[in-house]
Amino acid sequence: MANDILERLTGERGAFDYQLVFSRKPTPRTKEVYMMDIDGAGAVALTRNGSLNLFPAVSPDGTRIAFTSYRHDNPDLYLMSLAKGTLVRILSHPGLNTTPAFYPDGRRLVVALTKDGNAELYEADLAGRLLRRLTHSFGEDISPTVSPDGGKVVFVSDRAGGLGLYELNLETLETRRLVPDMSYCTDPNYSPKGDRIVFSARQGGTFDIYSVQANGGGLLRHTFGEGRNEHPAVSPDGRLVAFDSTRGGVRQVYLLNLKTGDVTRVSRSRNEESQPAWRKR
Amino acid sequence: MLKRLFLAALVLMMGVALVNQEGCSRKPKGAGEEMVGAEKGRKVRRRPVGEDEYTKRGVSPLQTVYFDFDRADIRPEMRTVLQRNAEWLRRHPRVKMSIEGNCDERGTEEYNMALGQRRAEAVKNYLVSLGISSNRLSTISYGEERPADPGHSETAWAKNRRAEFSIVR
Repeated sequence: MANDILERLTGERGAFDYQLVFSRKPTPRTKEVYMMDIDGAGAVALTRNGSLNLFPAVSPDGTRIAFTSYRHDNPDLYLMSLAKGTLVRILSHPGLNTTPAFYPDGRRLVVALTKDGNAELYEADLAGRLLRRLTHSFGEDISPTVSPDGGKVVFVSDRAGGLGLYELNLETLETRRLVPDMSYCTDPNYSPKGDRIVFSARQGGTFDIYSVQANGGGLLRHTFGEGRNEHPAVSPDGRLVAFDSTRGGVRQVYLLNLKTGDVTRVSRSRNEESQPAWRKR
Repeated sequence: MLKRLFLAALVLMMGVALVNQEGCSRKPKGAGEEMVGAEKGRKVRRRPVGEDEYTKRGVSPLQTVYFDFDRADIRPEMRTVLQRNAEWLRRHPRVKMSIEGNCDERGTEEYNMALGQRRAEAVKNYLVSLGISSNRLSTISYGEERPADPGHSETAWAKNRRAEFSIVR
């Protein structure tokens, strides 16, 4: 079924199968992590703890999901193994333990922690050991995405006012701002080849999906003011972008075909659904 | 003696409620925010309870602190609120509080998590500067996930940019 949708969306038969992991809001005060096929069928709850479960990130091999959960009354970072059926709290520093992103090798994460004051990015292994601190700024450094070659991280920071996209060289730890003329950017996500970065930006009061080349040039706009559009994630084959949008009223998950620009709704629930991440089945 | 202390606290809280109601009529722009404080004040006036009962019910007698858009610094009029909160905490030295930072919905969820944390820390630091021990105060951010008002207007947003107190049991 999912492959049929992929075929309809892309004109090509998918030789693989993907799922989307996302956050669903079943009640006004709770969010749970769910997983569904890319046609919206077969949605299953991965958490049922009645707290807030946010920002799911999937390991490149599809076996692990890292996310922030308030199940122990603090936004801690958890690692779920789908293969083993285990859930482990790996980071529980005071304050925020949030916005995880996997390295391409699937063995390390970049996360935002506020343990030293404002939010800074750190590298951690899957047991929660902090390997190094990656950013040092007076601003909030959040929402990292790691390049497929493992050499760079693009993240969001308010260090210069507004919200900007910054590129961090993981070898030198030097940062530079991308798309400096856009003053409120969020949710960057590398394409699988590493040649482009999709993100969401607020321009003129609405959030829309944009992309740039990895060097910051060649800006493209992909959505055009229909609702609030955020949290873009490029499919592993690079053809689709999953994102959440309020265009239908309630915020839900949609797919954008990068070649044709067609947008299809994925969510079938009446609940709010957001923050989609791709998972190789 | 205890009873007398109680009465004194009750009178003080009634005063707080009245001040808020006055503030409400004088300052229509911030009416939404002031009203919230007044409602809390009225609730306290109707049913004064002691430290043990507050702790048992998990209801905080402390007043909510409100913030400007995308800011985490304590507004001048909120310093008065925090001074009253500090006074209550001094009178109830065994009570520990969790300070919960919240935001309106306009920023991103990720950024609002960080902003809510900054707000909670700002409130904690202000209370510590007033002499409250930092190990009685913990902080948590709910970002934009726990709006006090689910609306999408400036009035709703003003009520949602806040730090609330809840008793740690």
